[in-house]
Amino acid sequence: MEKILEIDNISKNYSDKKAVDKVSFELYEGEILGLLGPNGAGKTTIIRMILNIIASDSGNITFSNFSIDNKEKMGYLPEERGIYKDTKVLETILYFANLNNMDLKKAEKQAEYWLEKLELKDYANNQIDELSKGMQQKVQFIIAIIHNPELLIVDELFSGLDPVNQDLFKSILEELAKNGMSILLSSHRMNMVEELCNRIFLINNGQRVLYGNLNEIKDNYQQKMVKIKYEGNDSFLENNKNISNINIKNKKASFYLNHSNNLNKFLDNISEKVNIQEISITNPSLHDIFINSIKGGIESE
Amino acid sequence: MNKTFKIAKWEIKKNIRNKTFLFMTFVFPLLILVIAGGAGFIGGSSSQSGLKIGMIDQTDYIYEELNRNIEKTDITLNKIKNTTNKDEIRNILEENNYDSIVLIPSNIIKNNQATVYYKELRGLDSDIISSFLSNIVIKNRLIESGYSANKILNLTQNVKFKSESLQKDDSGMTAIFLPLGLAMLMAFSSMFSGSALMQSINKEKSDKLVEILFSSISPKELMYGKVIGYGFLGICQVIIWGTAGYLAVNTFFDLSLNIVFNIKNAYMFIYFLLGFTMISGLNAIAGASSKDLQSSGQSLNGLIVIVPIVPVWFAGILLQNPSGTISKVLSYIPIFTPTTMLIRMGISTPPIWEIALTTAILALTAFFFIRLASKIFRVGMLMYGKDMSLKEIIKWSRA
Repeated sequence: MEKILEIDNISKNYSDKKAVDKVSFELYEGEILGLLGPNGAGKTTIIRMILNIIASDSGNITFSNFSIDNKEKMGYLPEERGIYKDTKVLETILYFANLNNMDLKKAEKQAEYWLEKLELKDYANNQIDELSKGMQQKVQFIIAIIHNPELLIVDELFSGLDPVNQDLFKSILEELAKNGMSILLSSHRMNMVEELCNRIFLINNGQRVLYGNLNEIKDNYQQKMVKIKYEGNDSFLENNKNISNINIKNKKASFYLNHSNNLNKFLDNISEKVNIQEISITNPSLHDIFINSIKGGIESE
Repeated sequence: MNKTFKIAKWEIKKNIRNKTFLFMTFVFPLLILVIAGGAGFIGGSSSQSGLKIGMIDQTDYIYEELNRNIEKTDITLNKIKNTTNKDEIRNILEENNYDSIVLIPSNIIKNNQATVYYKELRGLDSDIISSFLSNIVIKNRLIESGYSANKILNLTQNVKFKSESLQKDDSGMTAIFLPLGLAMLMAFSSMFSGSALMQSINKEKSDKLVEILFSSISPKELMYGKVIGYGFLGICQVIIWGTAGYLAVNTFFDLSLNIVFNIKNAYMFIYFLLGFTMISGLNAIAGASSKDLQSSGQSLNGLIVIVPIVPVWFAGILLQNPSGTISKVLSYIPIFTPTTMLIRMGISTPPIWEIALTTAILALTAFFFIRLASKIFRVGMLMYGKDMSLKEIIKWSRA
């Protein structure tokens, strides 16, 4: 896969606060990269720097195929969503296509395609404020992608959408990526990120926490999720410093194994105390990784 | 720059179907025409038009002569039967709808006195009759005394003034009216289109549209596009209003405005355009730096509205001494430059270097204001729901 964007050691300060602190990552052609982090972590600042809305204090942002001023190569759906209220759906879409230097005929054709696909065809000549919030969100999405950008940045695309439309947008993002569009997906919906992204970048307090292939991150994650069904005394997990978040009920226990590098020793230890009937040791979910990483980050401060 | 014009076109398209804009552009001047027409009509009817006068002529010759002399006026003169009974005269006046009845006694040549009977006396009217009557009586008195009446009347004619201006490029009233009219139009149009510009900038901020826009265009392009778009609409308004005002003055008042396209008027239009742009810039700053229109936006707009009016307060001084100290000082304060220079140019022709210098200062200021607005806009985007303090505006203008 060809690299289309390289972010190299960028930083941004707001007065005394370090909003983004020496962040680096890459984005490849046809990839959906998950940009994760708690509120105020610095995600929007990174996005604005990529879009050249604000300048970084230091570091470099390099696109392989175009310069950062070439805004028509990028599409953006911000989290703070706004749209003209007193204009019509189609003319508004065409205006933004025009701002991205798109040929009018081509834009009309594309608009028709997307309005049809997102079930808005009958509303093309309605005023935008006559549309429901979900429909307005679809119009905003069309505005972000109508000019077929090389890089699409979507911030909290799924918030405010019903499950049917969430699935619709999920399949559209997959299709766009398959056709070669690179997508930076910022979201708090961990299940969506797990389903859509191969790689993630997790940021907290302006600094990188985790970055890389999601499966590799999970595999390399020391903490494992253990579920066990047993016969014997419930106290078998007591005094074990290697486990946390214990939950015991009806001879079933679930807990985190904090360090999985010595799995045999752990199994020997508990099999001496109870009779194991069923056991599963799995990678943690992204949700758990997120929470543990952020908490860890806070504790380590 | 290409994107700037796309934005300008969009703003024009969006606003041209806006009801407030259409009302202000077309209904407002119509109202002015109606009001001016009404004023012209009322003013007209208060003169001697349609005046109907009855005359009791006991001399038997004054009526004919007087009637000949007033042929060119709107006065209708009817001879009525000879009576001195007041009740009878009142009846005749009421029955025939006379404005007044004039009694010319048979001894008028000697006694020099006539009587006007009236219900409502209109001073001007009796003055006109009286002057015509006087001429006839004097003439007859002269003839009776054996003088050559026509010769003496010719010799004793009053002097009449014919006024002629020495200004080379002057076209009468236009010289004063054009600059004042332009200054007024600038104040009005920048009040309306400027506040529309401010609202539109502010709305895009509060509607959170800026982030989407800035992913396609730069703040500079957006701000220039908006100023050009609203400027175009404002100028269209000015042309429509100006035409209506021109028609109103020429049709309903006895003034003849004759706008000549000479170099001085060209300078005045440049001041007008730059002044308009500068005030747009001020409005753009107000729109970009305030959180919403209910808060500081409105009060800032109020301040901006008086900017083109302030020099009018000094109009007396400016007209008296167009190249005095106060005139010069006001000319070089950029926000007052356009109105001051317009008023000055109405009655004098400032030296060319002063025109060049003030034009340059004004152009730079207008440009600076718009640039500042785009900078504030970009930074302000990160601060939703917060008004900017003056300190912050200054800080960001340096950024």
